[in-house]
Parts: sequence; C-alpha cells; structure tokens
Amino acid sequence: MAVSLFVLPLIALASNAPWSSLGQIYTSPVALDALRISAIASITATLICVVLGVPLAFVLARTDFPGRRIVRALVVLPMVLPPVVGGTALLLAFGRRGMVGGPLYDATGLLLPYSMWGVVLANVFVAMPFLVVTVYGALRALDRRPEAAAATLGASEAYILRRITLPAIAPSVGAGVVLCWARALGEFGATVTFAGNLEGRTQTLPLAVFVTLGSDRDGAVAISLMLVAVSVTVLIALRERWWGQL
Amino acid sequence: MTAGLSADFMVVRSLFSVTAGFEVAPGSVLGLVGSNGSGKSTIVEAIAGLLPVSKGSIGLEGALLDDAATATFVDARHRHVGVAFQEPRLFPHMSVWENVAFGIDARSRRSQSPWRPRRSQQVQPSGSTVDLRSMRLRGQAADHIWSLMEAFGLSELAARRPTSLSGGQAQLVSLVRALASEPRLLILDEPFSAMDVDVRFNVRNQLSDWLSSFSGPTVLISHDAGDAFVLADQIAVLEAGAITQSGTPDDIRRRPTTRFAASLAGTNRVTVDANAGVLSIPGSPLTLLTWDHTAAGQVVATIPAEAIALYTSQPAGSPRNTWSTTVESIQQMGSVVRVGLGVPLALAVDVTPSSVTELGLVPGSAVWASVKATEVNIADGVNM
Repeated sequence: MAVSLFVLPLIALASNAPWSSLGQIYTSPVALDALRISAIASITATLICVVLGVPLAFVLARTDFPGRRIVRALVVLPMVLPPVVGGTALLLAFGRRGMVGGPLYDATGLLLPYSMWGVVLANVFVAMPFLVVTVYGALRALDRRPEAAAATLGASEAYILRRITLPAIAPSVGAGVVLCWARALGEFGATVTFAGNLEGRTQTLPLAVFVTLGSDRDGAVAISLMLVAVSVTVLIALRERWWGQL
Repeated sequence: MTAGLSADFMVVRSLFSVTAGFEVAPGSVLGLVGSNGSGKSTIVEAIAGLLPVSKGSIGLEGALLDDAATATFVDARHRHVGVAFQEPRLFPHMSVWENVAFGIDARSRRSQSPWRPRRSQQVQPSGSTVDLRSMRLRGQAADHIWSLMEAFGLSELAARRPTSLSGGQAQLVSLVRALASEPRLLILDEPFSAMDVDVRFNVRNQLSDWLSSFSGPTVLISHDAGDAFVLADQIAVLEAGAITQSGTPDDIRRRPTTRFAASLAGTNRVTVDANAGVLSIPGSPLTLLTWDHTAAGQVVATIPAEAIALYTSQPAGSPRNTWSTTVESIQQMGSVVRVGLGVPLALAVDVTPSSVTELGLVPGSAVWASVKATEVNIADGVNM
C-alpha cells in the first residue's frame, strides 16, 4: 500500500500525458523560457555551492572552533526549513529595504528580488546544505592515515589536498553536486517567495507547472514529466551510492 | 647530541603513556621489540612527527626535531623520516609506481605551485616495460626508483592499484616507498608482518643489503624477534610503554632480564636452586646439570629454545639432562616452529618446520627432551 502511494501518482501522470503533442509543448515559449531560466539558475547556483560549500565542509570537518556545532546546525537548517519561510527570510535580508539588500541597492543599484540573481540566491540557500552535508560526511569518514603518510614523504598541505584528499572524496563531491543541482532545479517555495513568478524572467520549470496547471493541463503534465525524467536520471547516476546501502 | 638519532621522550595519550630513551648511530639499526599495545606505534608517530612529545626531545643529526621544553616541533614533511607503515597507508587512487615515486615527486615540486603541476619530458624510466603514463618524474630520479623497485621485485606490479595487491605486496610497496623517499632516518614498523614466509625471507635479505649502504640511522619495530635479531645492531625491549632492556642481540639472547625478553629471544628462564652445577627445580622432580659450578642458592637459569633437542624415543648415549615430557602447544614463529613442553618443566623449544613433520609432533605428543649442560646458563641479574 505504501509503495502504491508513491507509484499511483506517477502512473496517473504518465497516463494523462499528451504524448503526441509533447514536442510542441516543449518548444512553446513558456516552456522554453522556463527551461532556460531553470537551467541557468540551477547550474549557476550549483557552481556557487561548490565554490562556497566545499571549503565550508572542510572547515566544519577539519577545524575546531567555538560554536562549530551551532554553525553545523545552521548549515543544515535550510534542509528542514519550509522553503516559503526561507524565501521570506531572504526577502527580509536581501529585499529592497532588507538588512543587506537596502545598502546593496543604494550602493550599486542591484536589486536581487524578482530577478534572475534572486532565483540563483534562493536556489543556493535551499540546495547548498545537500552539498555541504555530503562532502562533510565524506571528509569525516575519510581514513586520514594516507594523508599522514604523505606528510612524512615531504608533501605540503596543498599538495596533500590536491593529490590525496580531493581525489579520495571526489565521488562524494560528485554525488553532492548532483544532489545539490537536483534540489536547485526543483526549488519552488523559496523561489516564488523571493524572486516571484515573472514569465521569462524568474519563472522556472516548477513554477511553470504550477501556473499552467489551471489553464493548460497538458502543458503542466508535460513539464512535470520532464522533471520526472531528470529525477530518474539522478537516481540512476547515484544508484550505487544509495541502493548499495539498502 | 649525537650525529644519529637521539630520542629521550615521553608521550602521554588518553589511556596510556610511553617513555622511550635511545640513541641510534648513523648507519646502524636499532630493533625496538615489543608486543602489541606496548607503545611501538606511538614511538613511530612521535619520531615521524605525526604526534608531538609531551616531555623530552627527539634529535636527528645534531638538530632538534621535537623538544617539549622549547616548544620546538619540526613538521613531518620537513623531517625526511621515511616510514614503512605496518598498515601500509598506500594511496588508493594511485598506481604502485606513483605511490613509490610520491616522495621524490612531492619534494621535487615543493617550491612550485601545487595547483599547476609541470609536466616533464621523459615519461618512462628506461627499462620499464609497463605503461606508466601518469608518471611525472624526470629521468635520473625515475631510473633510481625503478631500479629500487626491480631489486625488491615490485616492477611487475608497477601499474597495479593498491586494492588489487595482497597484504604482503602492499606492505612491500610501503617499504619501498619509504626507501625511495631519500630519508635521513628510516623507521620500519613491522615491515614483514603481512608477508609469507618465503617472501619475508627474500625481502629481509634485500633490505639487509640496502641498509648496509644506508648512511642514516634506522629504527626497526617488530614483535618478531627473529627479524630484529637478523637486521639490528642494537635491541631495545619495549614492555607496557617503557624500555625494559637494551643491548646487543647477543646480550638479549644470553642475558634476558625479563620473562618477555627471554621469550622474544627464544630463551627460557627458569628459577632453580643451584648447588655445585646441579639445578633442582622447585615443584618438579627434574634436575638439570649446568656447566656453571659457581652459582649457589636460588638463581635464574637460561636455556636457549634452539638448544633443546626433541626425540620420539629415549635417545641413546648420554642420559644426562634427558627427560620424558609432552607437547602442549605448537606455534609457527617466522621461519621456526616454537614447541611448548609441559610437565615436568614448561619450556619453549624452537625446531624447524621439517622436524615437526618428521617427529610427527602434535599437541599431546609424548616426546623426549634433551639439552647439553653447556647450554644451561646462569643469568647474572635476577628480575622475574
């Protein structure tokens, strides 16, 4: 029964799919815009997550400082926080009159809400924990004795990082990147709250599904199917990581 | 401070502490022998610079590596201490060749940015038949490492990954990796423990050759006295975090001062009552004769385990120091088999594996034991 709970909606989705007109829907301006915005925003957000998240995971896993546990909890918070709340918080911080957003606007004229950068920021906020947690876990589980051996062989810390540590955690970084990107791609709540739902500017694929569901059911189903296909691909890409443990 | 390694330190860890004091001259080998949990690994980590000392100091070639009093601590990577690790600590994503070349590779590019490795012209050591595309070393250094690998029989494995190696092979890679790193000091931590008997014999000979031309000090850590007695010039016995006896292998063999040292050395220690060369054993009907007629009263007699002969029937000829007993235990120890005898006198006897087969020895076998009076010694110090 539990399994049917997961399977039935997917079957319903597939059986309602307008298979014959899929190509037409996917090339419609709304779908193409949403696809473009989703792709750019999720990939940009993932890159930012890698640049900021991997060093953060190292700091959390390898250094000891007062309040480290609190920082670790804060990093994980967006995973359990309702995305709408996250979006609201982002608005209060980075909005036109926000704590950071106000001075930023006065200084540069840059306005994050209701822009592509707003979508990216919302994605980063929600998706980065997935990367940080994955890399952090890999670093904590890593056997550090080879690193010590490398040090006795004369390797500097940077050299050990590049030739020993990073290759050892590369599979986990890869998995974290995929997870992070998948989460960013599916983001809805924080995005709609912080960046709005402007067609052609901030409307991502999940937002397009929600909007078109009322007016154009076929379109909504078709875009949903596209997202299902992406999710299945992610599952297959990470199958050994997860299914191996089941 | 001496020219070689001088160590006199204490390391306090959460559950135990280790105290060690020893000096190793350039070109000589100290065998540090102790059972598991005696503190050997802690000493390895302290000398290698992976663990700071809590008290005392470690010096090499007249310079301090670690000194608790002045808070001196030289990083592991600047110590040039080559360590052959027992749990081999190989780099899993690199080939055997890359593992062995790692030290030279890391040091030769220390001054360069590690983020922009410079590719060098020569890609293969001459004489290599294995494809080593990922190698980055230049000619002479590569040839040197290659010949070292050939000497230790590793060249066939050069392109393999550590995961495809046996435990003994991995340990050999760790050993050769340490030798190839141009160390100023060498630490061998149980370097043969995972090797088969015949492999161990070959590697030990090869290592012995290599050590004879090595100008730095060497510390060999082992729970197997056989390896230490063959390779080391000096032996230090480590028990429960402290050195209990040190001296030449001959000293330890002839005059072990603790029961543990005696069992390591393959020597039996028996407390006896001596009277004009006749040793009576308290609680046993057996008496033994010794060449040493000077000892009197309660003394400790030592009998080398290899000096005791075993027979399936009563040996003809000299009936002195011959008795009937049973085999209690049989244990393979490196290249010899240690047989434990039961009543009337518990003794360890070292025999060859072939004589175990010839005599048909199993636990419970009835045997005759015999030892010459010239092999029964009286120890100087009594310290049971």
